[in-house]
Amino acid sequence: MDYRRTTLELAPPGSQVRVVEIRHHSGQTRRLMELGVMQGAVVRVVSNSAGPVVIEAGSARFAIGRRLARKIVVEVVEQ
Amino acid sequence: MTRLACEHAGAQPQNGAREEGSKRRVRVALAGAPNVGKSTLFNVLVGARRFVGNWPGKTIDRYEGELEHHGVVLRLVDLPGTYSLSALSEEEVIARDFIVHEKPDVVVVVVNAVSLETTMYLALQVLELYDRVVVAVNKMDAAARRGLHVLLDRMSRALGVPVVGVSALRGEGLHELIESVLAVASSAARTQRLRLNYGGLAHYAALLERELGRCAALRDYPPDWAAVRLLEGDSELEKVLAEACPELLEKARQARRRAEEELGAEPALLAASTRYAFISELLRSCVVYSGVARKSTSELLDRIYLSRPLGLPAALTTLMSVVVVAFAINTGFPLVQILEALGHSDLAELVEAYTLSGLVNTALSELADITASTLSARGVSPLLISLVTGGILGGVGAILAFLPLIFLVFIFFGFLEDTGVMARIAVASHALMEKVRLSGKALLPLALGLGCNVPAVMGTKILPSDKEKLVASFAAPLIPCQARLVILLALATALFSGASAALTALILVYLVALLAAGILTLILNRVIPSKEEVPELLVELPPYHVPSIRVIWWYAVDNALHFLKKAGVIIFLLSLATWALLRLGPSGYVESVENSFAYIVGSAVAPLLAPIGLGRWEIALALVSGFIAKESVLATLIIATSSTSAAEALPRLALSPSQALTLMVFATLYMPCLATLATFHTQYRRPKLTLAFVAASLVLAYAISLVTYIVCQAIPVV
Repeated sequence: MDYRRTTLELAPPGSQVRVVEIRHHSGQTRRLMELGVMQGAVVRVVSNSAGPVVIEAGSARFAIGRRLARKIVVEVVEQ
Repeated sequence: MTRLACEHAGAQPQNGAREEGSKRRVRVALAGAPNVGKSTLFNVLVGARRFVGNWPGKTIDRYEGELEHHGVVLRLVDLPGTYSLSALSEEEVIARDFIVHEKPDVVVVVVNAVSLETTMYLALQVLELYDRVVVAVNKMDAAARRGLHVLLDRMSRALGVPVVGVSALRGEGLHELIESVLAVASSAARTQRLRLNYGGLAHYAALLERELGRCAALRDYPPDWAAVRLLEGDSELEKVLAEACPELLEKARQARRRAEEELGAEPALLAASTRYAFISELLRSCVVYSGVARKSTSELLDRIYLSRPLGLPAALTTLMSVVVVAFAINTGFPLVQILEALGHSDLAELVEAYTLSGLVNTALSELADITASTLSARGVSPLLISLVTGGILGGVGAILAFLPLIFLVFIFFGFLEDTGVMARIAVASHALMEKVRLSGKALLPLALGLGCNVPAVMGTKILPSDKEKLVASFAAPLIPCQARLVILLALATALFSGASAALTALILVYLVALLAAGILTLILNRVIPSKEEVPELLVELPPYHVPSIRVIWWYAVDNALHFLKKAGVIIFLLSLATWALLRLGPSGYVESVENSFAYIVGSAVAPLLAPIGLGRWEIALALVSGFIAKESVLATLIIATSSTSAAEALPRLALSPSQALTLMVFATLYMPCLATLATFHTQYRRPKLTLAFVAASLVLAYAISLVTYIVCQAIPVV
């Protein structure tokens, strides 16, 4: 399997990504876990331009600030 | 362990006389994640029998209410909406402490049928913590429309508690919900605490659990729950241990380190994964899909609001159109001005008379006239007449004058929130607001400030951190509200010849005010020490939906009543004090302001205003009286110059263009009006902070006016 590994900040819009690792630990990364964004979870990148990265996990959408998105390592499952 | 479920007095049916005092009472807590419709459910259940208070020592509102069902009184407490019970935020601490320490007879957890994956997480946490739980699956109707069917019985068996499907909006399933609550309260329905299998983590949790039994301070918490929590690194539990059983704190930390080393993963992650695995298994067996939801509208709207070039303009346009509509309904701006410019001044007057504030003002002044003539016919002294009409009615009027606008602003605010647009605006404006070190959410209360500063200060409660709430509350009153727009319009048209000069002055003042708000925010962000890390945006974007009029109505009524109750008394007393200042003097009651205490104050203050070119007692007096409501600046200037209109009064002051512009700037920035001040004070309840709030705005207003005056004089054109 040759997955493209990157961070959520650089994940292309429209792609499905799997969360590999969340670096750095804080209340915010904890919150992410509670929202279902954790190691192994597959989420869809709805939009990713200048502002926050918008992802869809299950039926819920979240906007994640870029600094936080930088700490989320993902692999692109589907472009 | 048995708990007294309810104060069961066992009243006999024939014993009607004692029934009132011996009714069964059941205490119910309502928990749920944000956006699940929990508040709607609460309001539907209790109707008008609800009370707003504060959680002790917190700035978060506490809603309680009562309802009666077949002779049983249910006392509902609406816990703050939270995604989890990790005690990461103030809201989570409140919700968790309430369940743990107050031990309600039943906890109802509300989840959203449309987004079960995320809203179930909180339900799971409550079920792990507490045994007397009922799960209410809300928005069943909306889920059905999207082809989602929740198998409630199966879910109930899997969770070990009653699961009831409801639609709070349509009032469906409420009867069944209440019956389930009563069944759990009276132990007719057996419920148990949910115990998840934490796999490898369970071993460490069991070891720790044995140790925890020694700490009496933890006895309110289920020991197995506390053990898992401590392995996850729960800061609240660690705090309890540090105070009561410090030797156990070290043990807990050791256990966490060992678990992490031996399991090769962080316990917090393992625990969250276990819960999510449980939830997905639960949903796989209990949710049936039959059809695809239509997403085209949502996708289109999100494509606009979340796109790089269009997002921010779309967000600002949405906010501005909302503000302008609120303006138009309340005072007719800009409709009246447009009609006047087109030469239809009769029509403009008519429109103005039928705006919300026009109607309120007419009613109030007619009431004052009738009261005055009735009282004087009976030979009441002028002092008393003035006290009743000017002081008391004036005070009531000051409150009433704010109420329509506050109500209106909250209607629109509720509309944006209920449709799901608000979250998008927060995201779209995040990059902009970060420049002044606020998050995107802060734009909403600040934009509301253009309508009225009171809802702006109240609206800062939605902001994530305490620091941000405070900073935004300080900055909000610098945003020119509608009352100030009225003064600015009058001043600009009277003081500047030509419409274009007046318009330029008006825009300049708005820009200066926004700049001032930005500067103050930056300064405060440096001055106030930060307990938390820099806020990083993490916002849920709820699905768009058609707004519910009832939800918006409740939202606006609640907030307007909150304002009335909390700030009403302060506003009334302060406007009474201002009346005394204007109508009383060293010789008692005075007809003319020139003999009043206010004149003395105005003359004393005037020299202070000389450096900014406004050293006249009339202006000082007007600014002093403008504290009640900024509209009074104009009214007092008219009285003090013995004129009948602003157009007549202002030329009598013979102000130069630079003085005029400085007056506009100063009147806009100085001192929040007393309604805003009262709201600020009730929000934080720290007198020193309120004084700092006043001082900051006065210093800033003075400094910026001084700069404006000097710059204007240096530029020959102005």
